[in-house]
Amino acid sequence: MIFSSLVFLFYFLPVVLALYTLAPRRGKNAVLFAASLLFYAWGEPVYVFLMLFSILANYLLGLSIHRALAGGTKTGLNAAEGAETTGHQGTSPAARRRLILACALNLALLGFFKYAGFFIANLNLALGLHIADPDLPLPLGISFYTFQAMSYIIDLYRGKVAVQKSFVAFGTYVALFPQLIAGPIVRFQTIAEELTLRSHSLAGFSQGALRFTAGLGKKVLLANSAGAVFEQAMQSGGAGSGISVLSAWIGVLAFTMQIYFDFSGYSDMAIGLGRMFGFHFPENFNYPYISQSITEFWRRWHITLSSWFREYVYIPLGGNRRGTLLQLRNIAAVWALTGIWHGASWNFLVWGVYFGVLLIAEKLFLLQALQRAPALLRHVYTMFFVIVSWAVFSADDLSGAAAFLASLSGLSGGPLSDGTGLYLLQNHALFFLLLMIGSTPLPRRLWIRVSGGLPQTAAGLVRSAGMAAVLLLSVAYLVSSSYNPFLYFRF
Amino acid sequence: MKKKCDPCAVLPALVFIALIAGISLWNILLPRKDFSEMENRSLAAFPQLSFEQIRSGKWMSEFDDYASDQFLFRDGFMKIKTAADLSLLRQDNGRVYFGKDGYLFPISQIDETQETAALKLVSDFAAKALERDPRLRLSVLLAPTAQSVLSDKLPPHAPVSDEPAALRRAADFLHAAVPGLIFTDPLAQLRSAASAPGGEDPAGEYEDEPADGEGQLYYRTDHHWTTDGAYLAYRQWAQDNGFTPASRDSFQRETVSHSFLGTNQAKAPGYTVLPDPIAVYTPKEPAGPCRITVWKDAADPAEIEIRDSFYDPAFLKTKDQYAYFLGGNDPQMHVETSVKNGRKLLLIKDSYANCMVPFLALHFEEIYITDLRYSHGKLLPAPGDGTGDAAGGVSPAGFTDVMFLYNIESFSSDKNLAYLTQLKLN
Repeated sequence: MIFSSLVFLFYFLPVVLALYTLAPRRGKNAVLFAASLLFYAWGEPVYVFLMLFSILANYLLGLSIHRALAGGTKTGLNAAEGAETTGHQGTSPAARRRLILACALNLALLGFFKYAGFFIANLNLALGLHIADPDLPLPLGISFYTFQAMSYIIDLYRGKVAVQKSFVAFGTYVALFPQLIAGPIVRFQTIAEELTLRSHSLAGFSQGALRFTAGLGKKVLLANSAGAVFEQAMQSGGAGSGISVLSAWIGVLAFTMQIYFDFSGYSDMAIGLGRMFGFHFPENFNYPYISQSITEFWRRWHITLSSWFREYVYIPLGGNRRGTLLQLRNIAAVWALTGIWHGASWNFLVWGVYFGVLLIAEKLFLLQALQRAPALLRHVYTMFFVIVSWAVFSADDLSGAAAFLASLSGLSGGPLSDGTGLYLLQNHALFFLLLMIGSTPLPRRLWIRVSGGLPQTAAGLVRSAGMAAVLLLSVAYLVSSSYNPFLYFRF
Repeated sequence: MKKKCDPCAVLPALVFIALIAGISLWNILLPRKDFSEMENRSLAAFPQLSFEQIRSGKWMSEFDDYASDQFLFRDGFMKIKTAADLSLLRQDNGRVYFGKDGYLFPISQIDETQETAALKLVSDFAAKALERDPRLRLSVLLAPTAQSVLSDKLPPHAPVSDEPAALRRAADFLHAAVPGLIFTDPLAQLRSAASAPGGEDPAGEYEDEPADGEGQLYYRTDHHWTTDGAYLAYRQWAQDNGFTPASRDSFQRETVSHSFLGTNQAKAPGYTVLPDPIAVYTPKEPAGPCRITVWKDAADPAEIEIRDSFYDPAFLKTKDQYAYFLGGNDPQMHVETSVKNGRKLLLIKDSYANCMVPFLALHFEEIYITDLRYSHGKLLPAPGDGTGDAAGGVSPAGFTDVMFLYNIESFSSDKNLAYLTQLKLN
């Protein structure tokens, strides 16, 4: 199920909210866990069992690591009981073996279901073999929930979090439907406490409802429409001849807007839903398109993914503590992994490496050079490389990415401009202007300035009216058009 | 939940809950609708539950359709969407272009792979039919749609499918594959009529257009051509096929409706347009009675209806006013006219034919009309047709003419042409 659907908004959500409110405090996690399984099974009626297996395995391995750690302390006390932090730094070899087993299991599941087909296809190509492709569809959200489960296992071993002894609470953490299929990637330590003890208030629910509706509007009103422009632009070329340079740029700009509003809209919806149920999820996007360097861009884009890789790959590899050369290697490794995390295809790897190269260049000299450049130039530089990256990202495969880049640069032999490009340009000029303004903090600043002058009650009224308007307009769009793509099916 | 008293802080929560709970309850209590008048299509019903349907995920996707189709104020919400598109100065809503002078143009694409398949099916069928009976007269009339004839009314640069190229491809392919076949492409005729003074391209605004729509070749609000448009194509087809077309003066033009809002309008609910008039051409000298047999259900040869007119005024009171012509699309029809020339036509068609059949009937003693989308290639003999088997097991025989009549968009996308392989001419 996806949030931006009538079934979610008017069948699933009201029922879950009602059951959740009626359930006694101790039963609330069970309601959320069951709802999450139903939510997942709606789109993945078979793979829901894979997710349950992953939850069960990580839950048991967590208990087992906890026991090994407790045994390793030789204190004989119940120091590791309950919800308190154990504080061990992986001193027990038994715990270490179990940690390795858990990581291997998680990565094996992810590797098999996400990368087996890709790996086999390339092996066949490289060695001229004919291994049959298992041809498995990718389980929705597997990259998100596997990373979440791993954050629990690793932090448990590091003694940063306490063991979760309740299967329902742990299952709720991994499967929690607000962030299950498109993030943010919530580390266990972020919500460990709230899993067992969280407070609910109507004020908190209000914040959640406002945030959710804002995200819904971003997804349904802005991202879907931008996506339709992207598809139109990409289909404009006749058979054989590439699309025009103009259409290619309109297409890549439309995708730039689509992916931002779609992805950050999903995160807003997730954070808002979490807030309705008493959770505080981490922020995932912070106006990435106002960045003035690629380094800054990646501090503002899909923040929870970058911090996951920093925490569990970059720093364990030594981070920046072992000299420049090793640091560059670490950056390269993290970005190759980040790329391939987005999908089992070469263009994602190229996309990741492309950012790795830019980040290394910025680290070595570019950032210093940029300091002297005017802000506008820094911004243009950043957005140019970000937009070009989306051409690689949006393609189905490497050759598609190459064709897109060729069209953008005018090397494809396509015309400079064509009717479709001109039509899209005049037809969506106003919409694009709205999108660009919408991707900056301007609307928010404007709102703060306006609402600052209003009395509390009036501000509440305006806020509620705005929310109702966005919700109803989103419903109008959902009812009227069938175009509602899900962009994260390859993640 | 702990209640806080600050109204500013809790108001959004209350509004949100009221909205989603209210809409959801209202939705449950709302009576189900089978059909949308506004969109002119059947709405999804509650899907059947079964283990297999759930395992495959089919049930869930059908439930999604159901939830969307049975949504309360569906029509109203669709109007809001159109208003939002228009306020962003868009010239289309993803389904139709908002053209000049109140014209709406459906957004379509020609799938060249499917088009080639369609041409192959038609030429195979034609070649086989000619092999059996070399005297058979075989003709194909493919009509352009409004976007190619009235291209000046499209928004500037609006990307549309290249119908002229598709028509040329069809002509070349069919001429090469079936030497005896007569191909009629009325594009040039229609275009010149559209740009003729007093025709479709009046320097005057469309408010000044005659209220009876005289000279209007396509409906503004519907994807069909008008009787005026169909007449021009008929005239060219008749000349191409060696018939003497009935002259324009031999007909009385009558306007039977001023309130037609067709399929294009249904794709842009809430877009204000002037309704279209519907006109018919009645021969000044009555052609004599005709007897029309209509099969309503291809699977049930016994379910037939007998009529004596090509027009069904009852449909002028419904949303689907174009069904005034031939009473809409049925699997099969048989027309027995008062003409006595021994000519018997098999007409394989889409709905563009519906307003042209009255013209064709002037030249044939009998016409069998089959709509492959509903007949699936099954051809039943009319009661009393000596050529067929009374039990309905054998198709009618003795055709002197076979004609294909489609618009180029539906021809190039209609997978039902595959049923031509089932269509047997005895």
